[in-house]
Amino acid sequence: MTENSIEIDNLTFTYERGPLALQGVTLNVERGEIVGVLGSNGSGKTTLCFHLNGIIPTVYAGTEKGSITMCGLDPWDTPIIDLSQKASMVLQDPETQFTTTDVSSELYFGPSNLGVEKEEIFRRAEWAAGVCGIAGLEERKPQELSGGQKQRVALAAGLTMLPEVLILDEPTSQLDPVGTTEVFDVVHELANSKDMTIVITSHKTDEVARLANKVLVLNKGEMIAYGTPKEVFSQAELLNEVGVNPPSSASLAVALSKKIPGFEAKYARAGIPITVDECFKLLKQLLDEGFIKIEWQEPTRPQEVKISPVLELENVTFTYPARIPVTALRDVSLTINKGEYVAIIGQNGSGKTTLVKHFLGLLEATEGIVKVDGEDVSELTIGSIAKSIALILQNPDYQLFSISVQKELEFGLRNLGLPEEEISQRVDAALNEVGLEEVRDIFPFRLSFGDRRKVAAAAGIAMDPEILILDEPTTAQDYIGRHVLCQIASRMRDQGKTIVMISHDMDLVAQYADRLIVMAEGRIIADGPKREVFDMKDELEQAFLKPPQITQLSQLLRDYGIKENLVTVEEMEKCLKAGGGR
Amino acid sequence: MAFEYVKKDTPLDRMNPLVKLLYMALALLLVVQCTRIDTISILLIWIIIATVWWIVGKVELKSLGFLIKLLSFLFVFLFIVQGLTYRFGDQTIILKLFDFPVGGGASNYGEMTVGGVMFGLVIALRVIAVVMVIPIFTMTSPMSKISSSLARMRVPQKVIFMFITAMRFVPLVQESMDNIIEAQKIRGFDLDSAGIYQKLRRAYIPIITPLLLLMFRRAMDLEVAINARAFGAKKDRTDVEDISFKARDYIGILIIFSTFLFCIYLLYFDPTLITWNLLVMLVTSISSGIGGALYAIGITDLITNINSVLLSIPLLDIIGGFFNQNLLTGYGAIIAILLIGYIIYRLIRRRTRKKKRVKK
Repeated sequence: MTENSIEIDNLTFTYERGPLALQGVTLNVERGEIVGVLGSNGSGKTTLCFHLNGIIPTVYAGTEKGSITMCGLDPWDTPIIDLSQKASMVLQDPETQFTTTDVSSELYFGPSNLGVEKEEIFRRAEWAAGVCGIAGLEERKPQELSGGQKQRVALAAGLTMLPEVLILDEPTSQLDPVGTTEVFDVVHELANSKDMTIVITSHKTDEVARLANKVLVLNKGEMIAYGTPKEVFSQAELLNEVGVNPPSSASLAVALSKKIPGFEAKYARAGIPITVDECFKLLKQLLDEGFIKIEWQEPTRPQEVKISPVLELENVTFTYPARIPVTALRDVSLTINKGEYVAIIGQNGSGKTTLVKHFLGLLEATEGIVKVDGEDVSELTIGSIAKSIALILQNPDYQLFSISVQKELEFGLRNLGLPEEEISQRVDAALNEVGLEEVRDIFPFRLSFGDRRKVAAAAGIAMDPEILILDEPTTAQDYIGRHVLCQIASRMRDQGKTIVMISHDMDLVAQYADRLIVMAEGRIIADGPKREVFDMKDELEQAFLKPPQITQLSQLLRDYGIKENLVTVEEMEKCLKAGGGR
Repeated sequence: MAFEYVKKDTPLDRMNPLVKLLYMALALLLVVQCTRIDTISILLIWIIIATVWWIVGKVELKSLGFLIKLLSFLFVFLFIVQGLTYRFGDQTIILKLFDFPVGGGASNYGEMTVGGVMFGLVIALRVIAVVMVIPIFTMTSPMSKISSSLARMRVPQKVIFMFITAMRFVPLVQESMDNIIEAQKIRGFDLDSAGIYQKLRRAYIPIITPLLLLMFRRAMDLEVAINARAFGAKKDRTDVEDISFKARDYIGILIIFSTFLFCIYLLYFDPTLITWNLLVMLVTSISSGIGGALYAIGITDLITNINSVLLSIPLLDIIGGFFNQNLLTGYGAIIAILLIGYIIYRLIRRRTRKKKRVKK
């Protein structure tokens, strides 16, 4: 008989002096199930997680209605120390949950607290390190690890507690596509072999669709949908409305069933396709039957760019001086022309951010020359480079300090020494661009993370740069948030500016960028128009990347008349028409 | 970071942290009792023995240099203040800076005496004697072992955790600070070219504000993180590290105690002045050697002349006979000239440093 690990009945929660965070949430989770929790930023995902292991009400206070039972315990009556033995949680930010000073003691921390026997602790730590792919890093200190490695350590540290319920809050936000798949496979394996119940929040719907037993969608604290992945993702339009991006396969199926009468009935029995394989099988069958046909539609081509280099690297090598010197760039040569939309992709620690910092003069090349607008960067002051290049950082909290949003934007402009009139004009324009006019007098730290990020972006745009660099627009951003940033960039490109984006979100890169630069181990291993780069299987594999779902699908359908790699659902949808056959 | 543990696999590495803690405690105990100038010899012995520990533990000498650099301002301050105000011991005047009679002319705080400078040296050595022992503890003991041994001593879990968190936050603050400075630089905020006054008044706000806000947030997250991992669930945490006392720990204790007792013996029962006398001899020979050499190449004459020239400038004379010493003629001038030379050198270096252009 299966028992319920989690029972939540009509849960409503309001933070003390804060907003309503959850509203009428009801769900039951069976032991050994994987539940994927989806939703945009501020939809209550993290609040739900906090409920499950007693962080609410112990750490954060608020008023609650309804009931919640975790493994037979009520968080409101049970001390957190009892609850935390049943449920272990891995937090969003891998940086802050590092409680000790090296990896191995981090892995021992949880079980030691539980008073587990010493030999058993060692066994678990070894097992968890192996499973999470961090074996060999045991003696490293947190500052010697990359963001992705820290996230794996955090997951391993949660695993060593061998809880009945494992709660993962965005466990893969800083991992590359292959790393993400690995982590999800680990999670799947745990649920099967150890009968662990797993609650996982994520923006990576592809992976959730592949492995979760149940999917819960939240919007502003309310339950929008709850059910098996196929049930949930068949409501693609509803999900899009609440800022959840269904897997491309599901979106495609939904789009086609609107366009082609009778299409929906074809997959009604097996459920909506949510993986590339399922989608390909369905399309293949329908194409063979003649129910649909492919009419090749040329995807829109990016505007031709003239050759007028604005950013140039010539044989640049860079080594970080440290206890163990790390060579982050090896003999990199690159030219970016005015008006290009370039994406730099690659695994964590492949040198993407290091490369970009060279353009800004924050790092000086150990060997080689870096040029901006034809001028050698090593001869320029950082302040004057800032006039032509703006970098929008991953974490806006590193730069926000002013008492109001408006003052925040003015800061950079005053550094440039502009006249007052021009400052206020540019501030207005930038606030308008990101849509934050209403909050111009508010203290930035009171805004949500997504809005803080927009403030940081506006501060960059206000500088009116010729070149805009986006560093990982996906970090801690939901589906809508990341698109907002990229759309701003797109508009700026239309005004003739140059855009450089660093990311490992393949969907985003495929949709917006024109040219892809693939990096691995400090080298550029591929560089070209996006549709061509997605065909370079070996190089992508070497960089731990996977093409987006739609591109994979178009590669599989090459024999049926899809001539080139397609990157968006719309492009694919245009090519598929109702067939004349039966 | 300068004082973090790095695994080196030396005998000190494997030694129980409690032994090293004991070492620190004894260093403090000894130093508290070394207050007179003639205890300088005992302090020196202690420091020499501590150096042996450094060598055995393969602690980088670089970190000692870092310590000295950190404390150098304090030392200079000590030498000057003690030199001017301490009125015991050798009253020979090295340098007369100005006139500041106190106690109805009984002593003049404008005069630097040998005894005063010596006393400044004693205080500096006392500081060094304690500070030198700290890296032996922090740089050779892994945090996990420290916490286990503290737990063994029945220190409450929460106190230990506070200690570990403090150690964890130091590099975190450093890292965040670097990131923030970088983030502000790319917004055209140029910290390097701002003057000191400007830096203090205005420039640090864009750096300190985000740092504080970030750290508050981090602290909050940390609370969530330790709760999520059952901190404090069981009264008895499992100690992963083996911290039982081994032969080498007993040997360590033996060495520490014998050193300590030897120093105490010197201090209270037989205040031999062997090292003291040696030191005096050394200082005398060096100064007479330099003096002789300077005289031989005619620098002393030159300085005397410079001195008289300087004295003939009316304004300088008014300041209080800056260059008017009776003993060690002209050494004040040497120091002053060196100082002026150094300042000029720094100015020239600043001017000739690679100048960055401003982009058109």
